Amino acid sequence: MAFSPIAQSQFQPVTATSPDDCVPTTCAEAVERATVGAVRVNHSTIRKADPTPAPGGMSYQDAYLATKKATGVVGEPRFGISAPDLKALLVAGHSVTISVDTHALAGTACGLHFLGKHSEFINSYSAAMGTFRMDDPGTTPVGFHDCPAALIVKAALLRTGNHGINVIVWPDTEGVSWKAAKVHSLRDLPSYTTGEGRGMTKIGTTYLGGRTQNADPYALGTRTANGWVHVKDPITGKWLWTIGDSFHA
Amino acid sequence: MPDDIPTPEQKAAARAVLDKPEHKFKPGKDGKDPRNEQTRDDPVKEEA
Repeated sequence: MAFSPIAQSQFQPVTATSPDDCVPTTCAEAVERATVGAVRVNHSTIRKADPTPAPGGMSYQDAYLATKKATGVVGEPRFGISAPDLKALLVAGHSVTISVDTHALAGTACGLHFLGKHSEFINSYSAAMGTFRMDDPGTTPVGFHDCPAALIVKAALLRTGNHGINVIVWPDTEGVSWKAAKVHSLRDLPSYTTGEGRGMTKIGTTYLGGRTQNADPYALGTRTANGWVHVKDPITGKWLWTIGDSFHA
Repeated sequence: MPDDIPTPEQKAAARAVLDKPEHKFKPGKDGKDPRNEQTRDDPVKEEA
């Protein structure tokens, strides 16, 4: 399973736009996922970069532009995709922001405390379980949880009147190449305590990547992060682990 | 490759979805795509 960011709330911090910040909160989660823990921002950072500031909720086009401007992470808004399309994106290693109508979730374990037009963040899809691993930015205590994919698809189609599913598709992190921008340790395990150093990343070198995952925490600036990337050392040919920050300028 | 990662076929399937022109932002005469305008969410009340 791919690295998962921390669950965020549109009410942390509380701002004047918090009630309308579902979309930018999912964007903030996507930024941490895309950088494997190297960058953590909140909804306020994205909202401040809105190219067309206006009261109310941000559109997906504005949200992707704001996220790109604020963090350099580039999403791709897509409109009217099918359920198989959505699953194909997640299986390939992308995360998504998804537009739903929460009326479709009422009375289920994935129901929310409000009814209406809303956005949620999907980190991954389990074909075996038929579930999405997701977070709702409006319900802080729940955090990431599994919801039946069919239920979320139903909520997404209710939102558009059966005219497909609207999403922002975030960068693929699984089995992709990573260009080193910082020098960090390459280790035999994803840990600074139990793993042994096997070298250092070299700035400018592109590394073939495997999976990403949450593992042993480490200090990153003033906070703690736990994102690790499995990469192939081009010199030794060995698969080693380094932190997501290795690839963030 | 030691990891269970997406196959090239799965990567290609995702790329095909992203490349479909009918799913991309299409501005009308007013510069807006109604499907994009549809993504503006309702306000959420903070959970008690």
